[in-house]
Amino acid sequence: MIEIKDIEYIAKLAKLDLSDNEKALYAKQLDSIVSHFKELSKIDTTNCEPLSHPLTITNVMRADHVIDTDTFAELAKNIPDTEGRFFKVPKI
Amino acid sequence: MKNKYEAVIGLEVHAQLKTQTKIFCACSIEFGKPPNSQVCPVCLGLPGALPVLNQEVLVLAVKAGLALNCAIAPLTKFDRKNYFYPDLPKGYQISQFDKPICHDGYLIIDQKKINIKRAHLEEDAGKLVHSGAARLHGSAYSLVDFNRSGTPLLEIVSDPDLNSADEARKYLTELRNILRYIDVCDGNLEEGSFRCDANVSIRPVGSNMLGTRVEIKNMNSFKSVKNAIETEIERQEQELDKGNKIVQETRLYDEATGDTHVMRSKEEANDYRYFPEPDLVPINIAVSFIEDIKKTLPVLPEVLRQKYVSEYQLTYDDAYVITEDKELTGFFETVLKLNVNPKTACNLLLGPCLGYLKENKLAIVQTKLNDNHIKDLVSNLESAQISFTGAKQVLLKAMETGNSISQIINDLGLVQISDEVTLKKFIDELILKYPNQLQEYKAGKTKLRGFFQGELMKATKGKANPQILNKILDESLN
Repeated sequence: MIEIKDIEYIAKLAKLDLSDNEKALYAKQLDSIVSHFKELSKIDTTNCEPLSHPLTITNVMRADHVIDTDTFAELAKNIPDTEGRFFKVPKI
Repeated sequence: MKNKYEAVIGLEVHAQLKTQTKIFCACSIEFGKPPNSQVCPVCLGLPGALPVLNQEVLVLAVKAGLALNCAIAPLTKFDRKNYFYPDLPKGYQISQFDKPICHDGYLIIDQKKINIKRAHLEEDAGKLVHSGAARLHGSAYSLVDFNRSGTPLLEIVSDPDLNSADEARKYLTELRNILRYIDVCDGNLEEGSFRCDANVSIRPVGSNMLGTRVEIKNMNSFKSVKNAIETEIERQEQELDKGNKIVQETRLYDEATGDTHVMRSKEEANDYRYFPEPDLVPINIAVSFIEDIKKTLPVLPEVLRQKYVSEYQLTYDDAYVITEDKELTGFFETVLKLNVNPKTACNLLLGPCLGYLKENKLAIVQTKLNDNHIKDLVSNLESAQISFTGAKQVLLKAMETGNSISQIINDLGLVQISDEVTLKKFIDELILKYPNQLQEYKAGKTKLRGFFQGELMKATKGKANPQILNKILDESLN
């Protein structure tokens, strides 16, 4: 059973500020999702390898070759606040 | 009562892999470039950008795993580790959770086996500069450089098999040594390409229970690792002696004070909510791929040390010092191929040569010394043409100039005096010069023999052949 305190904990980890109404709503919604998974766990998976990816392809890789990526001027247009060539962020 | 408790230590090392590009994008990982000059949508976590694994990362990780006696996973995959921090643009770090690429290895220090639980791949975060303060605390705002974001790391996790700060230091030295040997990591602590966290707990001696562990971060040198662990063990001993309980927490080491202080307690411990990374497909590692990499592995330091001790009669300590430097080992090996007395060659390399290299921050290949220099020098020593003191000077000159040994010996006028008649002349002069000392010597003050010996070495500018000199000195004095 997903309770309000579970929602509060997840919200804190995700840095979300939720109202009491939202907490109640999400508790109900998440509870129904989790119950659905409980349904799935009834299936016998003894001989089933855990699925690590929905696609069947593997080993997609690239060669270790540098592509010059100094595009700071362009990048800076999307940074809210800079100082020199740094991203400036509020006090942590 | 120092031995009432026993320390139990496990280490986590982040080794930066020596690739050209980042783990999931083609940005360069070169150190020391202008801030944010090596970034792209992937390592900045921009929406829609997709990571692709660098194949060299796979090669280097398998190489490291083999050198650390690990099993290599036939199937490995990546997972997301979720947390928020300004140096992590995506809000998660791509790491490995339940299927690390390497697991169950070990390395040997002082004939003790230290187990390695796992070694997994992950991406590094960006670098924060805290404005207005040396560290986070007290700064008004922070600046982020993402050049490091996405740098490939291999996190190597040991079992809690280490029992002292000294063992921890030895483990780190050996681990770094191996990774440098196989050319997987440059092991540069100052540039952060080899970083370490420690998990420390203590328990009463003889107990099998594990005490509550405390994690220590922020140690930037082998010395600070040793200091930090020693300080932490002492702190825990004092807590237990006072009847207090150890609290599970993460502490930061302060280089300036040599102390640790609390960073976060268990209650605030992160819950990373790992889940499989959907943007990267799994990696199958074929046996043939592993076998091919195995063939490229050099002989590892511990194996060489055992060989040097058993075949060449070097002491383990000497063998250890030689194998600490990969280039020096390579040089020593080529010298040995010339049938040179290993012990003498080792003495030359470890004494004057290593001192010179350290002082000038050079690798042996950067000097003008070659294997024939050592061969000629050893043969001059063996035929008593020059003294060991003289040989040291010659060696330094050879490293600087690259001139032949015979030429340097001539230039420096170092040919040893082994001629008895010539040496006798020096002794006769000395006896005339110090008649009182001679009388005292004859009256039983035999310590004065050393005085005469010293004066003779001075008079001959160190060129006297010590064996012959001693023989004639004894004849003349008695």
